[in-house]
Amino acid sequence: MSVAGGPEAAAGVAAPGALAGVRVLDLSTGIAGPFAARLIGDFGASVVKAEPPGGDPARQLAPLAAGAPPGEASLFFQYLNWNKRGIVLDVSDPAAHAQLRRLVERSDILVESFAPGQLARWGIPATVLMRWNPRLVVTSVTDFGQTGPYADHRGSDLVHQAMSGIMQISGSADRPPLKHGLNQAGLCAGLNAAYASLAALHCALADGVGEHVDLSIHEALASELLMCETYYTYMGAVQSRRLPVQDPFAGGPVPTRDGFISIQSGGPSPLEGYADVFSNEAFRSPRYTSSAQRTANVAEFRALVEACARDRSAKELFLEGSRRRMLMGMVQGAPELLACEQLQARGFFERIDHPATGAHLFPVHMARLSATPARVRLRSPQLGEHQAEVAQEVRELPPRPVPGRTRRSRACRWKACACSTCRRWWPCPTWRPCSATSARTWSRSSRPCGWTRRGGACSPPTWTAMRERARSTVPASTCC
Amino acid sequence: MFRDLLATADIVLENFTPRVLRGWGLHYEDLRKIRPSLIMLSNTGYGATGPWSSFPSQGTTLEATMGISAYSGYRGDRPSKVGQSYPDFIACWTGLAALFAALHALRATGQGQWIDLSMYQVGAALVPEALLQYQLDGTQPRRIGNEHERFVPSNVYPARGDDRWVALTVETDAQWAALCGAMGRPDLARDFADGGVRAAHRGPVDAAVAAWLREQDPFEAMRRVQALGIACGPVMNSRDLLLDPHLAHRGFHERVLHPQPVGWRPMLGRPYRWSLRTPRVHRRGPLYAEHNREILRELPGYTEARIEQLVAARVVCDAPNIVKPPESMGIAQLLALHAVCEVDADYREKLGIAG
Repeated sequence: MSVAGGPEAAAGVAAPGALAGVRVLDLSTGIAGPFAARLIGDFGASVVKAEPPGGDPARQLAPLAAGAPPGEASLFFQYLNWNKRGIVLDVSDPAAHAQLRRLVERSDILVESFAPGQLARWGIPATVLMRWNPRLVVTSVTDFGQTGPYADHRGSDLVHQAMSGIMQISGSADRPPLKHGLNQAGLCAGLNAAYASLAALHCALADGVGEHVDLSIHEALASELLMCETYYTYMGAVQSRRLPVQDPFAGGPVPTRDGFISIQSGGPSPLEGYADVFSNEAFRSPRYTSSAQRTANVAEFRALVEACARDRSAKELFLEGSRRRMLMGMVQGAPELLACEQLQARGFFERIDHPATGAHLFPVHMARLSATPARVRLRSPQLGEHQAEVAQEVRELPPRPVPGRTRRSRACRWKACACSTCRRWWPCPTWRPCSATSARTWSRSSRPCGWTRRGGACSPPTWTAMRERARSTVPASTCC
Repeated sequence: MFRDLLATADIVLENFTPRVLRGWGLHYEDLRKIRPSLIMLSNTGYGATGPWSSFPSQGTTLEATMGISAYSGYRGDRPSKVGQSYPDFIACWTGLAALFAALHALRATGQGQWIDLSMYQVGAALVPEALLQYQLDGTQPRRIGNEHERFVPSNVYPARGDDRWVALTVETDAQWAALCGAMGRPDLARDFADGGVRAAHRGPVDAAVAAWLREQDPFEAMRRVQALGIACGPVMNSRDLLLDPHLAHRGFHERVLHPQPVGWRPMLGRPYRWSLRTPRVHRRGPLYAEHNREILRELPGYTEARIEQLVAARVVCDAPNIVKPPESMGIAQLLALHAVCEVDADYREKLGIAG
């Protein structure tokens, strides 16, 4: 279990997560899908990770702790899969579909990353999952999306970065295009899949109708071409890699005694301030402070900056300059990040223990929510670790509410929308499903559900109505 | 007026340096008293608290500080910035996830909250492999350009055309055998059958693949290599993306109408499709002060006379207070700097927005 080091934990109060009561079924493997499901879990959702019998292949991803049992050595896997309970479920086997259905019926979000068409070949495409649970959000994370000329193409971190346009504009004009290091493609796609799933959940809870979110890793990265693209759409100009930039105030790395700094013009303080940072009055000269003159004298200026920085510590320069409100950065790697006083003060890292590998410091807190802080409640699961616990829970938990689609007995309180265009079924304004018994029994709620009846038609709640409802009486129950 | 506007707002987004709103009495702690249900997201470089919270920051400087630059760069070369404004995108996506989580909590409790989003923390969370490798054995991933530590070949290779490249990643020995078959090089399949052997002989492996790809059209090469089940694709530029048939099928770019003389322009939308609903660009970005009166008229007590008073007092501006001359460069200057490399005079026809 986690031994937290952040201020939220120090407060001693385990505030409920923002997504308390939300249930996620994670069928995905690799980086993007599992990262998205973990982020949703960090916000308080209950996540069940269902792995194929051989385990998620990400269990083999470096870095691997020496001496740990095979399949339990990957620290990257631990990073992608905390806040989840783990079961084994072979969804390719029809015999497992009954249990899959029981899980789906009790989930709000399902994340999957099977190749397009694979779930359909097994008889369980998203349409079937949503028939089992009409309010379900299915988030499919694939290399290029479910359909289209590239839908059956295979991706890799490199190929995604290449096809996204990022590499065309990265690196030097006299050298090949350059990619981001490590595994940015999967992690960026995971961030997108997390927010898109929560946006769809927001809609699903408002009107009782689920959604199929079809996310493409390729497009998540192509979204970073936002500014570059406008050169073409407004001028017909194609951007490419720059000639090696000479101006040391353009942000490129400037070598120091023990690392590199990055200096950018355009900060809040005048550039003359560097005279104090570098203890050299030459920086006050308009030869260097005016952008046009600096361009004209760039070689000389670069030599000056490099000479001044050569014998200084990168961090010392960064702190000195930043305190004087100069726009600076410094190249940091793992040792610097782990020792960083700002990250310590922010409670960024947590030490998370695991029976197979021991404890390590993990980067945890990306955004800080004041009322419902993110927490690591569970370390990543060993393969099948929670098989029995989840099976028992499925036996005890009622399914999510299912709106009736045909005329039913007097117990059904869902009505067809009376407007002529919407053919969907909406929950009736004065009746709510009673979760204490089963989904098929309904009771008259003393609290209106927020739907309004106008001109004989039921309208979904507006934000104003939702707020009034939330303020008026007791908090909503979590199992409906 | 800001407080009056607040009465109509569910969410406030801001990215001032932390002390600024505090100084104006408009920090979250002040605003929540007026509107307990308010969700406020404050985006800063280093976070709203801590010894660095007042430090200025921007995309390039943050990219270095957050850790990604240390692991990006040509083999044996300096740390490198990659892409444009990478920290901004990852912070945007993280912020959206936090916002929807906070909206969910609002629905359950009626209470809002403050989201303190630190771009530094978002970036540092995306280099976990390095942070963990360092703890295991004191080493760090090296900068190896476009290569992969384990999979060989995985690289970009020059293809036919000016500055055209193809990327591919061979992950398994079976894929390598298939690629050697396509290259007509059974000797390579034999000599470098094992992934470990390929990893120890990157030079000859890369050279062989490069020789095969050199005269191929990048998109043709993609189709041939993908047909073998191997990840492969061209290094695409912005024109390639705007004209790509797959992205057209996906509806990735949306047509948005701007006031004349700009007219219709394609804009990138979002990286996902929904089956039942259609998130889309339903309103272009506003012109400066475009909706001043329309928004103020919605507020209770804001009569025409009051609005005109505010405009006269320059509390509300119809035109900027300070006019900085735009520093945009013309095409000739951009070409000279190699900030752009080609210009299509017929780009409107290509994009289907001519006339």
